[in-house]
Amino acid sequence: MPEAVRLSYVAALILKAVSAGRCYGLEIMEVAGLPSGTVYPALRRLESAGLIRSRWEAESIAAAQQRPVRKYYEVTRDGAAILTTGAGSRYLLPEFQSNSTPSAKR
Amino acid sequence: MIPALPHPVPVICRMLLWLAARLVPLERREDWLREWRGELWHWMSQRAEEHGDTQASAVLRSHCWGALQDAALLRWADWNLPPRLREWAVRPEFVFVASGGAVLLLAAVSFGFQHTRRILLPQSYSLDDRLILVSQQFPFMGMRTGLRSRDLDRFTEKSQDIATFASYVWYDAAFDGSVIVRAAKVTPDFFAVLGVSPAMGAGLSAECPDCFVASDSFYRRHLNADPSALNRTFQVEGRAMRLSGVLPPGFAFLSESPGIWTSFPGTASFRALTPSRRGAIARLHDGVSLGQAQAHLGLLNVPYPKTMDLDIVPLRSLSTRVRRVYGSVFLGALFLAWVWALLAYVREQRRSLRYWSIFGAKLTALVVLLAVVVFELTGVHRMGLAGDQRMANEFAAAWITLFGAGFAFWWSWTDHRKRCRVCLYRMTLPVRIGEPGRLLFDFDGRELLCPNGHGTLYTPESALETHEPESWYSLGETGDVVETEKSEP
Repeated sequence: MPEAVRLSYVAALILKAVSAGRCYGLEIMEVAGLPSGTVYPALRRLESAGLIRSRWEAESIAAAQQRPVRKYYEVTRDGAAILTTGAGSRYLLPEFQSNSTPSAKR
Repeated sequence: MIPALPHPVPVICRMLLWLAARLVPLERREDWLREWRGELWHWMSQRAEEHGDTQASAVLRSHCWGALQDAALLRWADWNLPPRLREWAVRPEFVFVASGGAVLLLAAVSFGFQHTRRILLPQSYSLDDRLILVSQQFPFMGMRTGLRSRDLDRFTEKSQDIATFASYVWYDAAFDGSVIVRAAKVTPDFFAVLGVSPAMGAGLSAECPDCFVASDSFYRRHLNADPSALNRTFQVEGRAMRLSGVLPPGFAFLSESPGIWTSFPGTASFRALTPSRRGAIARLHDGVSLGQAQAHLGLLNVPYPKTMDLDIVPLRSLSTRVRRVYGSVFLGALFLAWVWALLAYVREQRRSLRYWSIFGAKLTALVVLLAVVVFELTGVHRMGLAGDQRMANEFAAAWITLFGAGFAFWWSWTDHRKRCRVCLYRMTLPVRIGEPGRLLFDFDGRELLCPNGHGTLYTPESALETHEPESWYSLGETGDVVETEKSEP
């Protein structure tokens, strides 16, 4: 786990949303209730801090569903550690802290 | 390949995305564009539809603004400010430098800062002690009411101390039937009393009652600095009047506002004109002191009651008074800034000292900015009233300063007490705590949380004895302890 990582409330919320299986930008916006100008920069920061990583979905899946490819985000081991034991959990309500099952969106 | 969108993308969204993409570093641009275009597709095909056609474009715009924010942050995040610079940016010195820079920038950009300019640059005429403003009645509510028109001739004829008298009235005039401009109506010898000669053409004269002179800014703005405008005829107040000259650049008599200077038809017609009072200036004879002039003119003013006592003020003293008033505000603010900066330098001794020193720095910066704003805004003369409005403006300035300083303090305090005592971030996540109880619709208070987890702030809903006072609860160490305990098996 990276030392001395302090997450803001928004970053913790987005990290939790990603860990709960809200995997691409629009979906995270919807669940977190935050605008795009907040969510995407926070995703960049989390990614550069090594708490989440991103990957493009396979083009064949997108083509089959007649839509553009999505960029999915997932929590890294460090991110998960921060969320459960570190600064990130400090802000989250108990019900949000419980490990919800990721929704099978992929 | 991206499927076709259900609606065309609004132009503004395309522009925002294009602009945002230019901000993104080149190596990440393609990836960034791919993600945002994909999100836009999803947004338009799903989310925007939910808001209905009337709001869809607004929702889309808001979404695309987010792209711009994201791109800007991507660009700036890569700059990675040196830690020392980042640390310096939250120190009081930064507030001083930033506010000082803002004032300097304001002064440089708005070259039309007329009062600052008037203080810094010499006037186009000599402001010696012999040039005076004369008025009956001492300033009432800070405003001079000038002289009665019927007394002007008498004063001019009988006074042995005054070399020349001239008078003026401010008003608004229609120029060429379409533009309303600030104007001044003056006696033909007005500029001679001041000792000002036009930069172009000739001044006003009794022989040409239908002539007017223009200020340099009016000549540039409304006449396009066209030399052929000289001696041309324009409609001023519905009268055909000839432009006889242009005043020197930067000329100001109490204000730079009047663009047009017309003349009274003649001295004798004063009595027939309204308003019954007008501002008066005069030039004293050589060797005559202000006291002598005051005494002598006072004798001429004897028929009037005490409330109509004559007041004589050197024109120069008006500008020096303004300098003194605002100079002391600046010096006072500067002094405060230095005191707070000194405290800030020793802030490492106690954390709370840093908190309060930044509060002081913020307040000082606001006071300095307020002084500049008041200084410039209240210098604008209200036209259409007779007499010297400078004093009225000083009176207004005092009130604006008083209320402005009160507001600055209130805002600084309100803003600052809701900030974290450690990192100075604004506290967030207000949570109502306590029970509805003693009063109707009452609850005990609310708790705010530092976004960086340094602590919480309890604020009572109202300042009642039964409520706990506002209190700061540090989580700095407690939070770490809790987290450590949680991680232990």
